[in-house]
Amino acid sequence: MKRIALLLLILLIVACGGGGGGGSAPATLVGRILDVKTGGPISPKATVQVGSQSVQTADDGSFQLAVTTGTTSLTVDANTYGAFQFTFPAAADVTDVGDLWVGPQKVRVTGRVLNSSDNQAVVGGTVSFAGRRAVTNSVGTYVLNDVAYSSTNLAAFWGIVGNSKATGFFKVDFTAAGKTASAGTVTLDDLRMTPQGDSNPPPFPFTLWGRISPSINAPGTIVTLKLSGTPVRIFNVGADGAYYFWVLPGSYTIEAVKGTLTGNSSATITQTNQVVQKDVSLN
Amino acid sequence: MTKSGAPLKGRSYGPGDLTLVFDSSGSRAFPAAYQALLQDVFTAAKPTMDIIFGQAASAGPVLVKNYDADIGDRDAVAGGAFLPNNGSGQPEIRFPVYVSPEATAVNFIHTLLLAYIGPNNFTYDAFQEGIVRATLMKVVRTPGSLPAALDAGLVDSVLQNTYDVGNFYDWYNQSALANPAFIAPNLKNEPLPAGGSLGGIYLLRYQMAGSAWQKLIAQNSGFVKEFLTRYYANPTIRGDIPALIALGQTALDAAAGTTGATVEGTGFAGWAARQFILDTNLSVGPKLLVQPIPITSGLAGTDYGVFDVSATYFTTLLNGNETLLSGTAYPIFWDQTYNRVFPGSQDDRMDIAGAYGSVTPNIPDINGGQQYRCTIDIPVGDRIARAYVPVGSIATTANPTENNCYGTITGLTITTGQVVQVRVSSGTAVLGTFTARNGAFGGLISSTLYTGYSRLKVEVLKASVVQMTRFVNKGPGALALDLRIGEAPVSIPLLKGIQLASFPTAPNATNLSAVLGRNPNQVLAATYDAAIADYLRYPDFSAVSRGQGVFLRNEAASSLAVDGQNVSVPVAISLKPGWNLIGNPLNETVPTTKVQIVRTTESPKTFAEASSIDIDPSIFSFVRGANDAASGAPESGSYAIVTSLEPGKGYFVRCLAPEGLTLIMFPSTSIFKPGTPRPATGWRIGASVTDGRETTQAMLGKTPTATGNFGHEDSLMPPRFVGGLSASFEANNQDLAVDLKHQGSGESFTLKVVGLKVGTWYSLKLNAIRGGERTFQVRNALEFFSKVLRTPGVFRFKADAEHMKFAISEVRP
Repeated sequence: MKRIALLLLILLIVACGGGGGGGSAPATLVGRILDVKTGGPISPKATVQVGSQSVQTADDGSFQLAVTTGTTSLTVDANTYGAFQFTFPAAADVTDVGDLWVGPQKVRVTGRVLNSSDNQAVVGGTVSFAGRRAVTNSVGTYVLNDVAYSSTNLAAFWGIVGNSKATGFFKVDFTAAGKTASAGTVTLDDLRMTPQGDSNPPPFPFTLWGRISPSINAPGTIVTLKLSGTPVRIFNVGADGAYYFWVLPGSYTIEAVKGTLTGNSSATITQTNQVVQKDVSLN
Repeated sequence: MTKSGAPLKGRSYGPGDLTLVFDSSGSRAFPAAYQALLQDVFTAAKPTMDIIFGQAASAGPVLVKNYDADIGDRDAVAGGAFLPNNGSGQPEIRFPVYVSPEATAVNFIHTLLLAYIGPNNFTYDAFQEGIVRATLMKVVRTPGSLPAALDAGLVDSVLQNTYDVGNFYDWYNQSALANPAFIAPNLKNEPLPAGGSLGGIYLLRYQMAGSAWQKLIAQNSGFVKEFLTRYYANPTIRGDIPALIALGQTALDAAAGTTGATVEGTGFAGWAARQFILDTNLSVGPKLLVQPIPITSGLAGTDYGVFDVSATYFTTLLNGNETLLSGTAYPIFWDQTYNRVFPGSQDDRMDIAGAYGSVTPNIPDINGGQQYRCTIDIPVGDRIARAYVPVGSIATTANPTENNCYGTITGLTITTGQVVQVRVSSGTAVLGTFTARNGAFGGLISSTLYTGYSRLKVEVLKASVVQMTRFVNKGPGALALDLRIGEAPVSIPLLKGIQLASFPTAPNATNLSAVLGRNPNQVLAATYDAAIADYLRYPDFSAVSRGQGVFLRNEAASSLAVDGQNVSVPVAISLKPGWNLIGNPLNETVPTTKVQIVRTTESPKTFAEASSIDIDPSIFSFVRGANDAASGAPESGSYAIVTSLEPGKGYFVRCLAPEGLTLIMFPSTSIFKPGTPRPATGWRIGASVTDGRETTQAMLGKTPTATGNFGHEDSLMPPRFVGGLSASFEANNQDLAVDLKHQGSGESFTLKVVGLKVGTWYSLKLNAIRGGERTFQVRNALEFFSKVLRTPGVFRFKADAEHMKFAISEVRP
């Protein structure tokens, strides 16, 4: 049964039975219980429970459960996987709690959320993954506990799409693709959120970059990139004090000149998707 | 085959017969009756197998083991497995115990044919499995090739369910299929999900490979034997695609007894390049495939165009592993003139889990009983998959007899009164001529020249003049056609240095290095991924799609000819929240006045209507800078705001909608008109606040599908200019530009206005956008004022604070 059809059915029931009384109508939770081992609905069916109310999942893993308005958690009895508890914002009316994942193991999923424009921490953002939610702390770190996991079947875990939301930033979706648990923890790459207020398009791509120091001397520095002794690029450093080259794999030398000051470095790029940072000091 | 350098006992090097060796006891032994069935199947099928496939490459014994307990689920679905070397130097068939004898027979022939190839196995499944499956289908359809006790109808069902998708080959021939291996390494032993998902795209890959090679058997039943005989003479080319392609042409010529033989009207290389399933390149990144299946039985009521529309959504990683993605898609159905059609609210949303999601819309009769082409776009993240289906052309409640030849036509411009026809011929015999209406056609052909293996000529005629001719080979059964007129290779100028390019075509090659004709380690290319707020650099992405923007760095200027799908129709692009690097998908300049925006389940808006609400009105092009003094070419540049998009160029656009957007660009030849409003479901009211100089607007409403939480129908606010006037609805601690609550909830709305100037008079206006005029009570709790407004209505208030809130509730008549 499709969840949207379920919503319509619930609304129909509410509309038929609601009447015009003065009491507050109960809320209804809708969602889906999914198995991290397969990516599909949990089978055998799970039981979703809030207080004394419980319901078994449908064939497609979906469920609907009448609860008290303001309910913020539910428990899933996932058969051999045991119990999983999920929390969510206070339920009101028909509340879609999304996909809640269960599985044979539980791990901690952690990472950082950064502002893409300055790499500073995004504080107070909400990270959701596999039905779990966490808020980023003062250094942008989030920790999601009791996330469903199956160490022997990772394709579905890798395909779970989580998201990060924070006021003033565009929502970011992410996956744990390619990541595995170590000592019960899955550490994800940094999530980079784009500020909504930044109306400048992203800068151009590059594979080799670096900062010129001392920074006060950086603007106006001429950086020459050489391959086998032959100049292949020349960059005039701007106000950000850095140089950028988009070049193919190879072994390069970097020469920086600002008036009488000079600096050198070298860099080896082995793959076209590699980004190498080589800072240069002027002396 | 050798073991420790010595020939294995009982095996010969040359072609000949296989003998099956079963375990007589132990866990690998089959039940006696099952073993007898397997042996009977081989005995019955062998003569036909030998005729079509040729003899086994290496004669001798083959072990047949019961792997019912531990064969991978996907291998079982795919019809068993064969190992040229089981680790002990022996060839071995690993086979489960299928319940159905018919499934057993069909799948066992599959493994037998794999064993025929034996030690000469191809590197790529596209060849190994494709040749085997096409042959298998031909074998089991040959009378007398199976034990007589088997039910022919059930055998056909097995073929239809797990082998043959030739009926819908045109529809499913999509780039997501391409891969070196059909089951990704990490999925080999993963369990299958419960429910309708098969746990990935692998089965369709197997089916499409068999169906592709079936076209060659339809061309000439001697092809496979000619191909394999030559291949066995030099199996070292097993992974050499150019050599295998050349061999394909040689075999085609040999089977035809002529040089320059063709398949479906073209040489082998050109034909193979158009079959995505034969593309053995690994292309990294998210993939999406849409698979429509017409529902033709049990139709009732208003059923007119009922399709099961499923999507497979996964990511290929650099090491070849695949993830089974989850997500939400909001399918878009377009009529023949690209007005959005809304089949039903239950089909508005497709929840995807374990790589699989589906909806089953009844695409409605909108033309008074006249069939039409419906374009189905499934957007997820920044991927979009498209299918064209003929609505009302296959079977309807009014005309329940199922047609067996149907399809769609795109790229044809017609004027009033011109009759478009589709003519299907075999040799000189015209098998059927069907009138196409609104880009769709359908009919029934009963000739045996059509219903079996066929080589067809399909022509599209406008006013009796042939507009397009296609040669199509098919296996038994119906045929769905996707006829595209006017497709041709496009030329893209590559500039020395850096450029921001795009492809006004969906390239046939799925890997950018193949598109550019460069060695992979010479490809400097990057596209932008809003989800990571960073570039993906080749090969972290490698597939390019129509409408995708790509930064390229070229060592020299050249002109790139790209062969692909580029019929001139409106093309949709899916955007993620934030910055997106897009391209003009059309081979002509597209002004923003020819761009529509679709947000989730809403009616399309013009670009101007959506600007600053759903999408940033500024579109940025890349302007190449001055020549680098060393390289002699621009290596950097700047951005400039544009109001039209040029072909072959890429652009940055910023999507403001948190759920993402679909952007659709119309060619100049297409009729561009605002989208048909969605059939009334609930109501919407615009609330605007103005002091005569600044105006701000937000929207409130109620629908049957809205939820109590932030849902897909709500919209977060775009960023506010500092100090500016801004109205929004406050709900669940979020500021919403659009706040839709569900009908019957009785909830009131909280309008928040910020940026007010204390002492200034403002007007609050409510006007109906959808669902008719309504009456509301507007209250300000702090100021104790209340006003009843009937739309369109205005009341004025004097700001006594920079921020004010108003409660708005509907007054029931």
